[in-house]
Amino acid sequence: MPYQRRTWEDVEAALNDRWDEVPFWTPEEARLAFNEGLQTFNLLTGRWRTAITLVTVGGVADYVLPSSLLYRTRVQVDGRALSPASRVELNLSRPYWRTETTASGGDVPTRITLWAPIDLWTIRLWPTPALGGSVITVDGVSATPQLRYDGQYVDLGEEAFAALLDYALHVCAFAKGGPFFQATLPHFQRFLAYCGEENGQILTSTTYRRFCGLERRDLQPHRRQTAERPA
Amino acid sequence: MTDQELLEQIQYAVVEPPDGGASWPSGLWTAAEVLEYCNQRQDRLLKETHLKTTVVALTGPLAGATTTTLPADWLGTQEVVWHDLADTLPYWVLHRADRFEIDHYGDVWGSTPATRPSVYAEYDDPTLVLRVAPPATVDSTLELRYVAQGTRLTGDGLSLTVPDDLAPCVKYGALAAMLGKDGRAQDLARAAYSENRYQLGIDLVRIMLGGFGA
Repeated sequence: MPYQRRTWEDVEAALNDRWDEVPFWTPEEARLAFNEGLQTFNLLTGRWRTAITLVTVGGVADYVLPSSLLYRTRVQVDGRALSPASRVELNLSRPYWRTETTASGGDVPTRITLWAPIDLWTIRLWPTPALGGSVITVDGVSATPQLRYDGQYVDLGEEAFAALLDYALHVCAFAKGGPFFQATLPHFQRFLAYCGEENGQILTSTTYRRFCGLERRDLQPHRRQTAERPA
Repeated sequence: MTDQELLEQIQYAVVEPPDGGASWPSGLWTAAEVLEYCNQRQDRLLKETHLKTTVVALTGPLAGATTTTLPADWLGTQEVVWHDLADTLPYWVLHRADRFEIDHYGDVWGSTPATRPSVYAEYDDPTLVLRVAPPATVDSTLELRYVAQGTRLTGDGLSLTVPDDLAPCVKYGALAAMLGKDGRAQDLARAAYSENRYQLGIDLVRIMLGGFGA
């Protein structure tokens, strides 16, 4: 489906089209619900990508990323992609990594080869650059765009837009509660299913599967019953 | 996102007039109570995911000593690295252990000074005390990477410590507490839904961090 620019006016009109009575929610609630949907969508799928650059500093191994980057997925130094590692791997495999720089020699590489995430905003490079001035390029997922003012827009395909409308209607119904809210759970499940198609990694979350109705034990085939049943 | 924006979203969700969390006219919750729920959930999110960490150099323990004091805003430890003050030995990452392991590794292992400690323990001593074992024979410093308490939200427009994109996670955590407490506003179905939404946020952060910190 082609991407289209969606402004708040488009969103509000589409939400009203899905509602045949006087809505329970105010336009401001709907806007907040749609923005929350954008954030959840970005967390689930990593839709909005960006790249930022930093410059290495001699003797510094840890680098703090700007908050405009939600999380990082790939790191390059001077155009060479680094291999991802972890803090624990570095500590266990190179216990003296703190003293190892690109000028150390021996079995220590002469260029930076590994990066390890420390937390959401910090990465560690190994070996530590002996000299500064190299360009670090960090690819990742950017902070989610929000519709706050008239004229702001987000680029969304038709399917993603429909999924986000589902999400917004579901969140707006939360305030009413009871059967009314329960009746909108399929909206949320459709939203999650769409996100699952875009990013299969989230299927590993038990909570995600539970929301999607994939964790119901009563629907799981019982091994013994299946074996006893004649073909 | 500011705490007022977060509180306003919570007010919309429980049909309270939106005013940045200043008042809760239904009388079902107080402003201080909701703020506390938000603070608790933000701290829980930080602690359970290690999404933001802080590094501090702890002075000590001195030669022969086994304990040192943790920072007052400590929520959880991610990494402890030992280093001697004289800078003659390399940095050494300590592994997490507990008093039972320390006591049973050897009769006096945990109290006999060695060149450097091997493990640390943080839950079997008085609050905010970090124990290392065995004690080092030289004065040392510990580089502690830890999860610090988030900004205390007061309803005065302070920014959340977690990224804006994780604010819904804090929102649903607070709603789970609000709708789950005993009282006229109790709604266990929506409380359970909210708790699951909070848990989904934690799962997503763990996926983002590649399993790290879990």
